[in-house]
Amino acid sequence: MTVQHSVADVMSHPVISVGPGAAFRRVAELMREKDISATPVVDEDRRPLGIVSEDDLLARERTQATRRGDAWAERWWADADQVRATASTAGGLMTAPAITITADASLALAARRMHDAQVKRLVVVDTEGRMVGVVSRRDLLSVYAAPDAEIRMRVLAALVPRLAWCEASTVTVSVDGGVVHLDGEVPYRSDAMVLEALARTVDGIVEIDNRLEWASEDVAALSILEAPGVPAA
Amino acid sequence: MTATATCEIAIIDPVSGEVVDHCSGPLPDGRCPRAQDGERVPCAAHGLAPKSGTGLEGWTFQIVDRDLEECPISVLTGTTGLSGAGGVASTESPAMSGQNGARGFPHRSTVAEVMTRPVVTIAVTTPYKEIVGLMTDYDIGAVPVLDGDRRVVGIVSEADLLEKTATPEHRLGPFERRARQREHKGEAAIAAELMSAPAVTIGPETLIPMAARMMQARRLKRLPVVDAGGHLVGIVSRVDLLKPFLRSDEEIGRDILDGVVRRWMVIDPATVEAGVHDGQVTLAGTLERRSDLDLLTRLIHGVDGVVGVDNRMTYVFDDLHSGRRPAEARVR
Repeated sequence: MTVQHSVADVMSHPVISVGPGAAFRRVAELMREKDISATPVVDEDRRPLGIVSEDDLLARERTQATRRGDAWAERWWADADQVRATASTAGGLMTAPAITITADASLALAARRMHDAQVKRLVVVDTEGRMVGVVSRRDLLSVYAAPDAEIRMRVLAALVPRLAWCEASTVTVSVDGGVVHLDGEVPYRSDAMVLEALARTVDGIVEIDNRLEWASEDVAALSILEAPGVPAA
Repeated sequence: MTATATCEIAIIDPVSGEVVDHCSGPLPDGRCPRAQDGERVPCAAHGLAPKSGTGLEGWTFQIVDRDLEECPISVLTGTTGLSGAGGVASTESPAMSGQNGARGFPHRSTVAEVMTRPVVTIAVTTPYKEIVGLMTDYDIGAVPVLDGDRRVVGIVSEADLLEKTATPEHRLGPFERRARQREHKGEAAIAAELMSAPAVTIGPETLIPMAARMMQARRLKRLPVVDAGGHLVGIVSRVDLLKPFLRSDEEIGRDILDGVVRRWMVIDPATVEAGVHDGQVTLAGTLERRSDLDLLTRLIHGVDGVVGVDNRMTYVFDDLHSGRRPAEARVR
């Protein structure tokens, strides 16, 4: 159990994908059948070429309706015959190139890449550049849907190396609705601070309730804590 | 902390906005204090507003489910009993704010800091055509529906339009599509008939992880943000909740030196050089103890917005291979 999530931990996989030659109608049907909002377009080696989303499908129909000069209602309810008459392929519909990310990347990197490229999802690739999954905004937020038991395991994974180090054997970790409670006694006040700080690095926690007690005060006399602040890096 | 039943919650009629009843809040095990097993909860399909001084301020929300059997407060907050929710509402944990003296760090972002405003809104009488036009013009997926007093009475989303009026065109067969077209020619549906009501809302002071939990648990893409009186102040979407990941390099650098290094590790920040570029952190300098190198890397990974850490620091004293932790190394 790792402390922090990588893209591989939250991505959707296996992924339903299509080849560039797949027909528009087939892509639309596939997305309806599988109830998905986007499908990557990949070559025969599963290298991503682009992505077709519901937005792409709707944009295409809206463009056609606008071209015909239809009323507002028909921008939404395009004529079936028109759709068939102008049917094209996934390769023509897709938004390309696909914005990708590696499976071992941090969630923060995935969020930044989505923001920079203004996309809602990224195609996840292995080191060879082959598609292994798709990660969406919703997936990035899924760390907050983790059950308490899983959060507790991650907190323990974060604390255990340090617990052994500070010879504290009485620390108990409980998680309730994403709120992490730390109880017990540790040798030094600095240990209590470090353990709380480590617990905070776990993804998906709501708040830390640090009830750790310490036997010896080892930081009170330090002037560093009283400094008004330091300039940014 | 002990679970308390003294928290009084006002139950609000979603249409008139009037307080129709009061409730003491969830039992310690999270159940409704008034519903018998399997019975519908009395506040279902109403608005809820915890009174001030309960630690739940800003948690005004509205309950959509009409068949709730559990206390919706524990459902929404994911906690059992109010003690947990009270802890959530505080922005600093006891140890960090009080005895350990690390006030104000780490910064815990609230909904108010990331929400989108102003918000495109509609009235209950806004016609279908106008709603579609607004959503297209502003490229938005949902519009809150307000009463005359700017209180949120519902929300109309793309999903509502599609679900209540039609399936998206590419999901229809040719015959269905033609039928739908005819059916809609003369139709003049208004927001009141299209909206999901009452809307699930959230308070501006709610912490982002809490908002994300709520959104995930309810499978919602966005939540109207309302003040204690139920008045709209903004709207928060999934993309807004990802904003903490997008913090500037300056903010990240400040958190690392003033937060992690100084307040958490109690090390003089002047001994650490932290370069931040697009969230990627590079560390240089010398620490006294070898054990602190790994700890610093771990802690920096937990700072919002950090993409990766490249720790090139060196150490003076190898405390990892000196057997037990030496007492003299603890006292700095």
